[in-house]
Amino acid sequence: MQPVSRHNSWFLVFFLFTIILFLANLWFGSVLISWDRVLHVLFHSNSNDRLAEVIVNQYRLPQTITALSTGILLSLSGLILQTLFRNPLAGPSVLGISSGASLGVALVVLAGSAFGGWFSMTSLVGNLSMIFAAFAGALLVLLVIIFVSARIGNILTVLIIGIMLGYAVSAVVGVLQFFSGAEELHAYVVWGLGSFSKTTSFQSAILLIIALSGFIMTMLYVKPLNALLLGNNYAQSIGFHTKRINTILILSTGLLVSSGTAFTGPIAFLGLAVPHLARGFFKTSQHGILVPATVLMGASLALLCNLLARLPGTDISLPINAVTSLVGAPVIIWVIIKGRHFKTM
Amino acid sequence: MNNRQLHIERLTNGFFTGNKQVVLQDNISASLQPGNLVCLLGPNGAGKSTLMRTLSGFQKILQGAVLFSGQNLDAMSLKQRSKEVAVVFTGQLNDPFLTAYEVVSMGRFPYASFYGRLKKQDLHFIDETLERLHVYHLRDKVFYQLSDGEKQKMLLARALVQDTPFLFLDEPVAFIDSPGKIEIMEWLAHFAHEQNKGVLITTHDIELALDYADQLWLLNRDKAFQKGVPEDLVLKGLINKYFDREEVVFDPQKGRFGTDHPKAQEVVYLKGDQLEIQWLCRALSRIGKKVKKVSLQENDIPFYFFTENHYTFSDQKGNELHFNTIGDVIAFNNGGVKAVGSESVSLNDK
Repeated sequence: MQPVSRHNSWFLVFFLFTIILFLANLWFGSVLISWDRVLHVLFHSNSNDRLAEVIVNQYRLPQTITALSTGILLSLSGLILQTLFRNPLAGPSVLGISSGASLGVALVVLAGSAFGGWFSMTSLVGNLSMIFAAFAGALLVLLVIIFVSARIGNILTVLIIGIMLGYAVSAVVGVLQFFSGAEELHAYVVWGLGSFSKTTSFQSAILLIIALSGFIMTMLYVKPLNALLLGNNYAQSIGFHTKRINTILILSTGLLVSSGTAFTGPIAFLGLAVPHLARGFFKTSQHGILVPATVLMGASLALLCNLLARLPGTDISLPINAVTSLVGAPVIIWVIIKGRHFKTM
Repeated sequence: MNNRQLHIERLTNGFFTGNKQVVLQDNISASLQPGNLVCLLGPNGAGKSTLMRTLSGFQKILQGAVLFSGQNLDAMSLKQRSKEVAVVFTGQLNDPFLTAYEVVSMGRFPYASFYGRLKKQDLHFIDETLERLHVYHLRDKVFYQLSDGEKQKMLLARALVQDTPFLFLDEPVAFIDSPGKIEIMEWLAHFAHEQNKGVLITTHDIELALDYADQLWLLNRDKAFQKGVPEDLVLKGLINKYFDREEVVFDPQKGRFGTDHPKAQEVVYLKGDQLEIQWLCRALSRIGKKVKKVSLQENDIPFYFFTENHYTFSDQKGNELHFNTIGDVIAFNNGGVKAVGSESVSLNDK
């Protein structure tokens, strides 16, 4: 088959996949609501089916949109970082950004108890302050990374500093955990397991806008990203200001990851694995193909994980991180062993 | 067009480590004219790659100036640079899916649209270049799966489609088999002479450089920068001065490096000028004989000559030994006696 038509059929497959999974996420859950009721609630603003309206519009829809958006922005960040660092193991967690977010949340949740309980987890203010704390922590680490990368030309050094920052921050979080009370510790651990279900409709809409602008921004950088595949020197020699491009791309992926992590907690695996899956299916490193492919696959995989986490037909739901890792790890191992990646790593 | 040249003016070659400045050479002045192939030579660690990086604008100029067609390199935008000079550097490209064609076509990026789309004439130019380098059939292969020689040709094609007056290549013939080296050097000379490009390469292959370079630039950590036509540099003894080591010296007679066998005392004479005698000469000098070539009429002994498909050795007493191959001659010399199978060695007792 011609590569172009092969690409187009994969695009179609994953596009349909995303739509089906999106609808499935609205349909399946602990409460059984029939198809027509879901559709009716979705497309009619004033229905008298109160139960379906509350469940679909206030719970399932924001959760589904959050899963979709988080899938998109984490996968895109992973793709950009892997190209930027020319390292297949780079992902949103390597820059220390998730750790930064954890530090922010740990400070708000745990330090409260460590310094004498001024903060209540259950209030709406509590949820919002966790989001802000995560965002602030992530931004703080991001600023350090940007500061370093603007000064040091070598992109690998930036990677190593990001990983080291991650360790340092985790150590601080560890100390805070050690001194905090059981209830706060539980709240922190639950946040750390990640969740797509803590967002309001408004917050999920914001996430969707962020994810889509991340997509548009990345599409504008397709040409420099392709040039970076040859390495910094070649990219420079064909006219790209690599230092500036590196800084801009780190800043934007940092913002994507920070906002994602702020709303959902750290989500494992997606950002690292989806770009590999996209390369494996589309058999290319061209970002013109890879960026939309990563967006579609990231969205559908996150939706799939969210669906599996709810264990349809039961009342329990699993932490999303457990599912992303359990679904993702075997898939990525299969792709690596089967694909060409195996020979270069 | 006549100001299309690269001027290096009192350049300090070196680099920064942290805040410390490491100076390798001072005061380098030279110019690279279009239509010339210049080889930058120097032992390991002399600063060849550093100089290349500096000239390509990848690292800061410590002191002095680099001018492309009268324009200061520091003042040029990256876009302008990309239309002055194309580079081929060492280092691996391990991307698992990037095809050779994708690598080569990126050389046209300075001319491409914002999104990287190429015009019809760009695509045509790329195909033409691939065909000229005889690698068109490899264009859809994954780059990293090509052989070293094929990779180098693709990188050369990438630099050529950038369509610049200057080409800089760092070690273009390293890791390539001998015919491949010649092929690449022939092309570089061709692009310099026929397409009027200024080509600058670094290499460790001095003998190849002597054959192909229009000019040599010599770098050495403790000696001043030197430049000139290869033959002049040889005759001035500069190749010896820059590259000789205790055991290995450049032989201006042969135009190549060799060892000065200090133990070579036993003199043997070679009579005749067939190809076989020339290679026998190499073999005997390798095992430590002092070989002298004389004409058939001379009476020096002991001597070797070649007739009727065999090598004959004649010693002081007039004994003659016959050998079928040079290998047998060597075995005889190493063993002291007729150590080889009786078929190949027969004493002159018929």
